[in-house]
Amino acid sequence: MNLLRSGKTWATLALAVSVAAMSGCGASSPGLAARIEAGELQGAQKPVPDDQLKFNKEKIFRVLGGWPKPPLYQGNPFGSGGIGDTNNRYMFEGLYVFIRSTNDVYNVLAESTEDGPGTTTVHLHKGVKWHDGAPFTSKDVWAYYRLNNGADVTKYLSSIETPDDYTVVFRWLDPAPYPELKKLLLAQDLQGQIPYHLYQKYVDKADGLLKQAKPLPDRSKDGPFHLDIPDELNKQIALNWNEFTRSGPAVPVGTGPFKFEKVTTTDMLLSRNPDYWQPDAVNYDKIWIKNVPELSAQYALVKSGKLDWYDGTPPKDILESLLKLNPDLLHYRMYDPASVGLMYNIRRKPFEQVKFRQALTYVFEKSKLREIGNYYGKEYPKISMTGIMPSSLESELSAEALGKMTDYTHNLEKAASLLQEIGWSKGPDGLWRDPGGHVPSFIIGAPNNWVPGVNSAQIAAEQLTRFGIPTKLKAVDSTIYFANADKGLYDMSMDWVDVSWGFQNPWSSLKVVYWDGTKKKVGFPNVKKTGADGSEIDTGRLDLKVAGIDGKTVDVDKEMRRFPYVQEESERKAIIDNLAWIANENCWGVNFFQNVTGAWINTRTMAGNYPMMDQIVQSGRDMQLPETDADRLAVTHLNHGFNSTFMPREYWPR
Amino acid sequence: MSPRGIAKRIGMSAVTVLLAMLLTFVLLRMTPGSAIDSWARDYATQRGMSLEEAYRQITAMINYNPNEPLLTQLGRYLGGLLHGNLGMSMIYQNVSVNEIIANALPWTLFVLSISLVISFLIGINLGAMMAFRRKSLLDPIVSIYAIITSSVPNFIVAILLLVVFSFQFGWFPVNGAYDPVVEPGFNLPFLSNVLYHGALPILTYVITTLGTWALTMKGSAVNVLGEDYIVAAGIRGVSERTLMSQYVKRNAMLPLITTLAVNFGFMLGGSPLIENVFSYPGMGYYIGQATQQRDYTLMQGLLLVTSVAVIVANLASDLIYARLDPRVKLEEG
Repeated sequence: MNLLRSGKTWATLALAVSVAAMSGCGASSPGLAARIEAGELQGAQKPVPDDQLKFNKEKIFRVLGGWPKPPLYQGNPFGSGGIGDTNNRYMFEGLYVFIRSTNDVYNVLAESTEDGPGTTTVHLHKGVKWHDGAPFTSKDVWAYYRLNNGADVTKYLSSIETPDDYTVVFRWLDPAPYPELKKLLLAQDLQGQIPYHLYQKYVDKADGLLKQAKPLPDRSKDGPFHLDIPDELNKQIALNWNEFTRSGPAVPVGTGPFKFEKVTTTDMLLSRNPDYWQPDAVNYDKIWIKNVPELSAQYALVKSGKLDWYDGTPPKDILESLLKLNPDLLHYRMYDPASVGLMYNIRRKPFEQVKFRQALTYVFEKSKLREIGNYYGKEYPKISMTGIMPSSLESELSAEALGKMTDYTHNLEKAASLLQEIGWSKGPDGLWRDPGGHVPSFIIGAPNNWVPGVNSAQIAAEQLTRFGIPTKLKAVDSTIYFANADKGLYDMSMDWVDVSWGFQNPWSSLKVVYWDGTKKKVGFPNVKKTGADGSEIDTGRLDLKVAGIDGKTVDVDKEMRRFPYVQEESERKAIIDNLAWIANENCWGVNFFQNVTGAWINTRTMAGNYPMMDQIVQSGRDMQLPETDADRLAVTHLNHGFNSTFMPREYWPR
Repeated sequence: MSPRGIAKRIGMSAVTVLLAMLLTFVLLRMTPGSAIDSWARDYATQRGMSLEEAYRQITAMINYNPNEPLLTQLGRYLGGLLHGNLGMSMIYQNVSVNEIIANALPWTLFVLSISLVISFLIGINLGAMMAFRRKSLLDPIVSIYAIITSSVPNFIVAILLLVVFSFQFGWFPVNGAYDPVVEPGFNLPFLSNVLYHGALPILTYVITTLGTWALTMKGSAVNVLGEDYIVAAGIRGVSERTLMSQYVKRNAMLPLITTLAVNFGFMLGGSPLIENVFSYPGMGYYIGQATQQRDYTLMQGLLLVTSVAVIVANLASDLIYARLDPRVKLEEG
């Protein structure tokens, strides 16, 4: 009995401990909402003197990040595994930085820019130093592009000149891209990553090799600096690049506001750069980056207030629980320029038939796909896949083009009628049969580690099966999935669709559809030519000629090649209208929902002018998507990856 | 064991190592996917070129051709092995596999040797007590504990410990092997920091292996208890304490020595799941990374070390067992 009694005591104690632990007994009070209601955060906020800091006296900005663990760690951002994306922007800078939600471009290492006929002249800030003390000059910008000659912008340039240490002249090919695109092409690079004084050997070698190449005869082919690089020369350039990526240094050398201090397998310390060219722009003394790959562990860190800032939106129940358990947390949502979607493989029957693809698209009930894929995402029921980020459709496309687009809103009757039009029939067992009387069975492939993709694909497969088209999900190891999908091994493939990698404009997202990832999964044909030995050679160039919005045949590849050089905005708009309409009409894929991601602020330790301050209490600290440009900009500054550079500048320790 | 018997065992172990090495080599190359696929993706994004072009450039610049005949690849690999060179990591090209293993092995050795000793010592004592007092509450309690801990995956225990002791109470660090603020070296702050960081991984191993040791020891001890010499000793009036420590425990421990040695060998490979939960930079972590990235040379190196460790541990246990158990001597003689 005694033992039993003591057992009960232990159990009660254990339960009490667990409840205390799970209820977040260590959380601070008062929380953010109470502080706002008490009027503590009225008016514009400003950093306080160091002796008034209460919760972050060491002035350390604590975030998550990743990097190859020592002994794999090295300081070359182009080395295998890099130095970690997160850490890049704290240590390295470019001439500009762009904000991906608005495409605004700000000067960073560039002090001013002049656009002349066929040139862009950039005047650099004087007094900028690399972390090892060497001055940052125009030669470094030149070195960046001569060595990293695969950078997108080099396809549009004839040369880069450096008339003096602080002036860089980018000479564009004729015709040059339209002005906005020129700016973005330059702004997407981090030019302050290849210090010439450290990599002179490799830069000079690359320069020498490029000088051996002859100019391309015309603009039908692309090459860095408009050069026709034969295979053997290309191999030497690649080998030189490979040697460069293996050449170190042991720790990163950039021009950014923070310098590398120390790294272990799980922690990285960066310290304030005492020679930074903008000494007043940084509010923290150190950045402590933790490498925690496990999502559950990351959420636990957020909950326990061990991070100042966190990038990402967890599933709904976890998000609500985090906000409930820690009253200091504040969560912002923002559109991701990427959507979760499915692509039909037109190399396989019956997916080569547009009506079959359209029929399947009518079957999908996107709200269910979104709920399971990313509760906070946003579905656009009317479109299939357009090549344009759905949240920008209304601003990028004309009302006329939008009005002419086929509406794919969930409609099972419409799906059935389209199938019947192409000779399919429904059997007494509820299953659809092709014109030959066979019941098909389809596979949706998805990379197994992509949770939104796998979850929504499972529901999509169930919706198709319920409609009478048996479909199964095949979640494939991500290391082999993409190669398999590109080879056309699945009937339907999951991936990001209507996505802009880098800057966010239609040129960028349409390229993905017609030239890059989507093209491979859908299986668009390429132009073939006959080789000298009579064999067929795939030129890699898109061979897609389809009816456009006005009924005339459009050579999609030709339109895509023309697009960046069209200077007249109305003419560019017409191309965008046409290419987006074509993608939607031909229904090569389905945009399930646009992803929404987020950012967390731990307001206990990090102060600042939090965006949409007036809505924080009302929204329960889970902020809605920003509606105005100003709010969108402020929220995007919070976003990681591209813009982490803003964090230690626009916020400060509390 | 006679010198001939020892030589025979060593010879068999060497053959096993060779077979393990060949099997690892062939099986890894039969797995779908390749390091170049994922590398080409990164390369294409980084340099703004097409995937085909990136693939072409990468195969040109690294010393690996997936279409090269298997025998040629094997010959090169064996040539390197004879010089003690496990090759260069395919992904992290400027780092040798030897270097990676040299960095990872000490952490795994540190955690596993401490946890193995603790769990073994507690486990055999508990097991002996369970065998000796079969009608006490200890037996069912430890049995239930052993069943639960052996059926729950060890990484779940790791996550539980992490959530409760690191995130909720903040008693232990969240991850890693040591803090960046301490200077690595033979100094007290560093050593205590390493112990502090290793506490939860060690506790995870102890919790999940303790029960099995206890049950195995109990089974062995029960057998010993039925032996005539134990009954005779009892009749002679040997005290219960002496009977348990000098007669039962010593003899019942013998079969566990082999298991201990083999476990030690297996644990040298680390636990990818536990080490990932704690972001602990041991062998298991790198096995996980290498598998994910299809880094064949790194996988080969890590698996070879693990295989050799198991085989050597087996050999060692055979030799030790022969020294401890006279009956083995007789058989060999």
